[in-house]
Amino acid sequence: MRHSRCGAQLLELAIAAFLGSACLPTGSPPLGQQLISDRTLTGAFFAPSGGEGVASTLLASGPLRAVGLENVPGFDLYQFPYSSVAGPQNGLAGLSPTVDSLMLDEGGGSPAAYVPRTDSSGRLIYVKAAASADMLPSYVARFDFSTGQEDYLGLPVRKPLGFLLSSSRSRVLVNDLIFEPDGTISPIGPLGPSEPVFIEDNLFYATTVSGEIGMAGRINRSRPDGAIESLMSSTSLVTFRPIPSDEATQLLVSWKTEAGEVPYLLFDTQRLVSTLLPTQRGSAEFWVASSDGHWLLFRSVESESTTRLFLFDRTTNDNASLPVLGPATEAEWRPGHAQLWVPLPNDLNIVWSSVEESSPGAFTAATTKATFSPDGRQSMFTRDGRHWLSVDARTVGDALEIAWLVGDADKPSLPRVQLNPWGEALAALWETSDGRLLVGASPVHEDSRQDLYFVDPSTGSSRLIASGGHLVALGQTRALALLNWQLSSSTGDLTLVDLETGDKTVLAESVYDVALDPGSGTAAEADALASGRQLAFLIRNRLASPYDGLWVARLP
Amino acid sequence: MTTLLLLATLLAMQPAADAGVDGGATAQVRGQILAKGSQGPLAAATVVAKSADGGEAQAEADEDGRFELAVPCGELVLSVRAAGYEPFFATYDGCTSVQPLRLRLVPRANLPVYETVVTARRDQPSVDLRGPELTSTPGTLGDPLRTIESLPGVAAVAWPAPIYAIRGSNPGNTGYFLDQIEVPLLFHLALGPSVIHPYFFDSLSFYPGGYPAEYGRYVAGVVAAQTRAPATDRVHASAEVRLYDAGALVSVPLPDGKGAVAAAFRYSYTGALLSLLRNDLRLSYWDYQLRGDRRMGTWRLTLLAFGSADELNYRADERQFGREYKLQFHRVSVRARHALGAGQLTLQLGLGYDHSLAPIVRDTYSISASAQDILPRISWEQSTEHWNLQIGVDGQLQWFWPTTNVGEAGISDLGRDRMAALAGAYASASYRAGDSVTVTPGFRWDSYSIHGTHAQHLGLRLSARLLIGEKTWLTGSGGTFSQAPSLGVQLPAAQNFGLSLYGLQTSWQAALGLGTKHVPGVEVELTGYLQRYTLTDLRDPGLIAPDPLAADFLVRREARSYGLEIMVRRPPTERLHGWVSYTLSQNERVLGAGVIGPSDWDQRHILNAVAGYRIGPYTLGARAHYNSGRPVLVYRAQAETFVRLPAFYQLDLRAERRFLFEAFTLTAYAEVVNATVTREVYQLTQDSNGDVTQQSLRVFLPSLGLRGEM
Repeated sequence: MRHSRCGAQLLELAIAAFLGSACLPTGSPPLGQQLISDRTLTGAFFAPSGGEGVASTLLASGPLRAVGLENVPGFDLYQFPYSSVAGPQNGLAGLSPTVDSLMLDEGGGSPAAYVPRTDSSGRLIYVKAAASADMLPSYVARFDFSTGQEDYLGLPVRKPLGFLLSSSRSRVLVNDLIFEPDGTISPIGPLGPSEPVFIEDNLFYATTVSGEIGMAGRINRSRPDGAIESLMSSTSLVTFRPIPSDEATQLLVSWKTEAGEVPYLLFDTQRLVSTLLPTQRGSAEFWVASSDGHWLLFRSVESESTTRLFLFDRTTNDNASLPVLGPATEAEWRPGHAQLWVPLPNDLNIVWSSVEESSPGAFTAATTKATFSPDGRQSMFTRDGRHWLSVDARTVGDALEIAWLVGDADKPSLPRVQLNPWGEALAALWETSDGRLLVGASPVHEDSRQDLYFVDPSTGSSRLIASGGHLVALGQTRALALLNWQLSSSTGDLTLVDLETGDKTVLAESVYDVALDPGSGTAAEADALASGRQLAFLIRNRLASPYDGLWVARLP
Repeated sequence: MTTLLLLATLLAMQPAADAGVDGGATAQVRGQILAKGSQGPLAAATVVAKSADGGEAQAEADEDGRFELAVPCGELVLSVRAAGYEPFFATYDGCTSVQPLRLRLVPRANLPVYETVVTARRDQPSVDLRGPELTSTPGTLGDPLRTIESLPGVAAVAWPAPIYAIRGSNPGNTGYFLDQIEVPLLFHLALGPSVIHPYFFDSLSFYPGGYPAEYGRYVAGVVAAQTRAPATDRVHASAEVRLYDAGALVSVPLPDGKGAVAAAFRYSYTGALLSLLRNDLRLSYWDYQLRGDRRMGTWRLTLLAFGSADELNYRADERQFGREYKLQFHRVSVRARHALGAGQLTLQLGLGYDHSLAPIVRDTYSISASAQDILPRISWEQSTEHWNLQIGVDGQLQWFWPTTNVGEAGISDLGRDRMAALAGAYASASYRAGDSVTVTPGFRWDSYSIHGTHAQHLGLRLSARLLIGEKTWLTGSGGTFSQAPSLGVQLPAAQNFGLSLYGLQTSWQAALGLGTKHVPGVEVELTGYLQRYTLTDLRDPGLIAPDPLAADFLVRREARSYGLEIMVRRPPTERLHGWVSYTLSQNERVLGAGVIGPSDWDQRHILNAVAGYRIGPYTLGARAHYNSGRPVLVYRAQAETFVRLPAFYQLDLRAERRFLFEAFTLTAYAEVVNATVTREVYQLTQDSNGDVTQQSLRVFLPSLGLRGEM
């Protein structure tokens, strides 16, 4: 009897062990806390806070939908707390949007491309589609997260966002009204042909007035205290464009003539004085300024094969004239140097340096301004100007392959380091604070699936640290990337990658959008991926998952 | 009919030398018995001569169908009987009629046209197919390998493409062997036939799980086919012309009588037909098979060679890149058998060459891969009344040379030169206690060395069959299995890669079955199974711009499959015969993010009904199929991305008419696959408004053919 009971128990145990071994593991949950369980959110954002020590506002965009009376593409925004004691909200169904009927940014094809903009009080400024026939089709609005109040600000006429924020975000220009931080509104009158610009918190703008012999122009400044000053006037229409400088931003003021806009003076926005441009430049048009704003380059095309360049140092009034044999279509001042690089179509590069003050040097290699930086910067140099980018090409069968190289800008004829291997296309180029490069190279011309190489242009070393994804952010010692990127679902594994070793830490799988808290501390500013930095991400697994939705976490 | 036949036969006779002996005299009657329609001699046929006074003489035909009888002169009634043939009766006088006699027997009209025999082959649970059932099952277009899609546990995941997922595994997890040599490609491109001529098969065994230890390196099932030994008696030939292709098989005895050679070849003119309709498409394929058997002293040698080649070119637009596909493989092996001790020793050495060319990544890039193989195998087998012992070793040495224009930094070695050395050793012992119990324990050790990475696996096997009473039996099988990382489907020169990246695929399997013959004429078998896998799965099932060379093209996933399979069979000896198979299964994958979801191939319900009915020289057949749809990723989906395809059913019909001539048989047949022209949805797409539309095909495959055999 005992034997049979023992045998039965053993059999039960064996069956339990057998069935237990058939169980499937579910794996570890993502890092952090889930705020909402949902599969329809399109983007996660941190809206900058109103000041030092104040947390950013966590927002997520709902699905793309037709908004307003005209059914234009738009979306709703939802605000989420950073933590939820009650556990994640289940779906958007029970939630009211915090802000509804936002219109897509100009050129933005999806809500995920939206960039939240807040004023210095942390209030969200956005363009909204009108829901009522009494209103204009769209308008700029402002939402106060602390009170839940939405204000109508005006028509969204300022390109590209519909409004303009001052440097400190304290002042907002909407149409011809400035919304001051104290709640007052400063009208600035009808604006002239130039787009107004905020230089720090001063608004510079042109107006048109009736002169004795026709329309005349005037350049004004609206100061942070709301006072308006007329800085200069002209007997004809004037336009201006800002030229950043390491001292004060200059306004390059042009006449409006039948031939176009002819620049004739520089206006110092700090000292409020103007300097006439030298007359030797003839009819040359302004082309580009050096990064410190000292040197200005003017260009006149004299024939199909000759371009005349005129250079002017506004700080010393030095100038030089540089004939170039060829149609110069690109030119760039080397960052941090008074040195002008002009690539020509025959792969000849003319380099003029003010230090040498001699005839320009030349070397042969193909280069062009590249746009691989995450911020859309277009340049043939690294940010510090130490290295320059060039191009090499070869034909394999019917296919043209292009390799990008980086070289010492002081000695451009020296051997260069290849950034992307042959057969791969350069898709992204990130720079660390110490001048090393993280190269995203796409092996199959699929920009979201890149091989990531860590390149030191000084030593020439290049190391593959990750594959099959793209970078989200770059810190001092590590990178945040979405690897194993799946084209069908547009999701990837959110992964921290050590730049030196290539070691990987997966934070979450099936992630399709990530936002890093812009933060306010010095540590965050020094290292974008400092330990403890807050981030939000959206998960959508290929099948509905308990982990789908919005998560917040702190970087390990 | 029989009398007419006899008259015709007698007219052809030569005069007997000793004719005209009177009463009391006897005569020696000599003759040969042949099968009508094939010239084949009927061995073991019985010839009986009865005289009017009740005297009787009897003889049995030898292996050449020849017989000799001593009979008295005078009128006799001659009767000839052979299994599977109509009896033959005639009157005859041995002293006056011409000799030798040549008698042609007519095959019986109710011979099985196709049959599926569930047997315990080598004491392992399998479904065995042989004879006409290999080539005449409706819906298969005459392809033996397509027959398995009507069997339990099999999901045809992309019909009409012959891609089969067995018991929840990936299609690439099932191995296909021909005379124990792996076949790297089963079917020709563009719905072409199988790469082996149907009449080259002798039998085919399907193991949905728990396959024998002599096979290895697959974590799901095995399909093991055996070639037919060429006949040594005379020249045999068959030729077939179909709508799509033409082929022939010839076997010839060797002049010294110590062996024979059989060769088959097939060529498709589908490409030429397609080219007439579309000038942007070029398609061609061919295959060949050769088997030669010869006795050399006490050794029996078998040479086997087979191979196939496919080429498909597609260019939709002059401005576009063309798509070019090439698939090719060749195998040649020599097998030698010899008695050793109380058993039989088998030595086999195979050589192979594989080549594939295919576009990848938006048709802009291509990969070309070649491989050379050395395939040795040694085994020894001994059978006694109670035991069947089997031990052996086998190996696979492969060198791969892929080339691609994709600049790839990923770490998958699929696109890199590499060498693979795979070795296996196995032993199994079947113990039989009468008819009631059979137990087969076994093990298999496999070693994998791929591109410098090594792995080993010890697989245990156990199967058993227990008879409960006269008409009921229990079966059980299980084991552990391993496999190198694999693509979703098998392709030549695209195996044995990624061991360092994904590790071995492994599985354990368990199945329990109950069978009964309690209902007369009907056999019912019910099998429950549970399989646990670690697989290399396709990571992105959407296959948008797939890059097979990327390290994350595949992903290592845990998986589980369990289900119930029912097979109800009416044996082919019945006028109405066939089977009904039903599979209820759940196939799961660990998909990450806390989700255990269905596999890409999961079809919850699969039902097949195959039936045949014979009326005289006609055979009518039908097959009905239903499946409940598999999950797919919704293309361009905004949110809910994964849904199940709608259910699909189809009806296939086949009609065959056999014409018997003196020396050959002609068979005309017509077949229609998907006679109801049912629309099969293969993809779902979401538009910008969120509406989901179905992309579907209405595949309708008619076939007409004429086959002659002698």
